[in-house]
Amino acid sequence: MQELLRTISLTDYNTRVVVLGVAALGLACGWVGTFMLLRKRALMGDALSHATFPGICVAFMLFQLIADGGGKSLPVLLSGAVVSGVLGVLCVMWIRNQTRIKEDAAMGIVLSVFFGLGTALRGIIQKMPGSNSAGLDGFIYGKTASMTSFDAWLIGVIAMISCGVLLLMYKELKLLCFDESFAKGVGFSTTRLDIVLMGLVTLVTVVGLQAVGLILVIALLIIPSASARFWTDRLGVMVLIAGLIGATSAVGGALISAVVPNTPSGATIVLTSFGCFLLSLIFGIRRGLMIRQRTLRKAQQEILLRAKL
Amino acid sequence: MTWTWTTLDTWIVVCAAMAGMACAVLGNFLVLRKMSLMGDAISHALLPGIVAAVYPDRFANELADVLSGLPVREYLPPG
Repeated sequence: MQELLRTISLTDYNTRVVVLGVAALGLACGWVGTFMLLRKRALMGDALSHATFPGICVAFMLFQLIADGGGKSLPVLLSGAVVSGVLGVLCVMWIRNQTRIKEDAAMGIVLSVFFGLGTALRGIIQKMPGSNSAGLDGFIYGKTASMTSFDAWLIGVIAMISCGVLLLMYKELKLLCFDESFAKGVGFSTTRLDIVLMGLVTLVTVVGLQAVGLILVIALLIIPSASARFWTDRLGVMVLIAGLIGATSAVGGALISAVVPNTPSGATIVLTSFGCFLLSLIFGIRRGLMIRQRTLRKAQQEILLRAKL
Repeated sequence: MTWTWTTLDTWIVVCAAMAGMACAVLGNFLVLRKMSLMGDAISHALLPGIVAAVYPDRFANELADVLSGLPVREYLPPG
């Protein structure tokens, strides 16, 4: 109980760092995820996050060879993640544009092949003499407990950058999501806007890897924005709600993972955001189940009434 | 490295080949139906079921621990 109170009241410096870090991450993921969801590219984040894994492994191996035993430098690992993540997205786009394979199949191919390559490389790393690959598992399942203040700052800066870009390009991205051909018609380059959006997703995903892990980071991109969709029909409101839900569920999940022993933070964050999703699904005032039932009943009654008259 | 091929290895290869064949046959329809990622979703959804099936007692206890604020334990078999 004492432990619980201490965690929830944020007395410890470590808890404060972790909570602030994941809150910034949840907010940024919610904001970026909204645009991804509306652009119908929600699963691109999944392909991207899986594609970062071989990059992390290669960066680890290279750095292990160059600087003896220094393979766990976070900036190096994350830059490896960016390189292979971008490579994965480019592969998806190339397959989609150059062959008759559809986007979903292309994403399936890329995410499984890249993740398979990463798993194979991880097996090799474990056999490498003198290397401790324990840090790599944190990238797969997420490990907020080990977050340092540097990581939290990194997440905060990236979150601020992505939210800033979204605010600056709000109008253009809105156009891209809702009426692509009109955006083209008035002279915006949809390719360039797509690249901006994918770049933001890459940044947010890569800094999010540490907190929730590469398997589950997609949840922070999709679930908050999908939940926000139940509450409103306006994009601005939806973005704000998605950010709120993302931050709340990330913080809630991190706290649960700190209090309950042996729970990886990625899992608890996903389950917390699923709780938010369930609430929105039922009680959402625009598209929730309850409101839909009520409007359906009203319509039926009206039809019955008219039939009687 | 010495490598001896055992009967078990034969069975492993046979299993892998059969799984590959079955998946490839069904995969045609998934790709044409544009539902390739459905397999991904289903395979990930299997995991909680597998965990519950491998450790039924531990799973129930852990669940009870997590939900210990609620009167769950009374409805579970003892142990």
